[in-house]
Amino acid sequence: MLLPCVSPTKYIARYLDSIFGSLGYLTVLISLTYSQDVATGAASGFPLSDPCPLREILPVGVHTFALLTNGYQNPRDIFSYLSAWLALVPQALCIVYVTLIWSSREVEVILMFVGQLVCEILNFVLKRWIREERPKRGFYNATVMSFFAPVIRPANETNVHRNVW
Amino acid sequence: MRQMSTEMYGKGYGMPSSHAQFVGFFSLYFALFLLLRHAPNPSTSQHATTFLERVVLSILACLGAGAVSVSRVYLNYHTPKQVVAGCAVGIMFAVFWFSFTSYLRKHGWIDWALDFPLARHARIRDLVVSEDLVEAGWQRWEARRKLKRREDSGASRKSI
Repeated sequence: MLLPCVSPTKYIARYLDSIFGSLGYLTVLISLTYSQDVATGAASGFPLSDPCPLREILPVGVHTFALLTNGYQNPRDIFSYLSAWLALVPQALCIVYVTLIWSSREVEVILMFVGQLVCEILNFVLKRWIREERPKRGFYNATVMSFFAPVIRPANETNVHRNVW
Repeated sequence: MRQMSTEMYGKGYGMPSSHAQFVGFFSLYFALFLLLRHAPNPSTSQHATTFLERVVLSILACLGAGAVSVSRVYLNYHTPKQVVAGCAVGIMFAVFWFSFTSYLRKHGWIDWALDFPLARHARIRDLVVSEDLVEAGWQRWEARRKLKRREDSGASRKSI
């Protein structure tokens, strides 16, 4: 017989490492792809129209990349620069969770990560239940908006229907 | 005046802030674990973190969570009310989840789950509650290194 006789559980367990690794990579790749989309999208006048479910579930700091890469933040203000980096903390913690689970296999870390994910689902539900808008035109956004006003506009007519303008 | 893209403000609804809720849960669960559950056995790990060190770590985690929360208001992605609500939900859920996992531990559900063949093959373990992982691994390495040195010196003596 070419294939050695392995029980299915052992077979799955053997590939758990690859599954863990792929999950970690996927998390990083998706967050990077979307941040890139937002950064280039905002700059080229093509804001993202299709909401990504993952972005709603994980508090992915996509705006941070836009902030950092497009120079939205006021360069004279170190606190906005710092805040932009702080927005990435949940993403960093997710990577820490996946790495710790993969390397230590501690049930306590798995339980904490499951709790964290349930907490995110709870937030997802609460947001859609309460339906309270984010703050609109604060000083910060107003400055940014007026500065980027010539750049941020729909590139063609079809774009108008797909986006909230 | 034309309405600007929601991408610039942040997407979706704002109540409660998901960043605040995330870090609120993380910091409180981390603190509860360090202070109430993690009890390294003094006989096996002498150099494990002391209770005072764990208190300091917990405070640092909470300060970090506070910084993330404040930054949400500073960048105008959320109102202070939304951030406070996020923190409150995160903290309440952390307390609930910690009690729930304590219940699972107390009534043997964790031991039951760890006995499954899949969990055993995946080498899922429950060591960090009673041991300092850094210490446990380091002591094993130290013992092995000492043994190897003794063997090496024994071999060199023989060759002379």
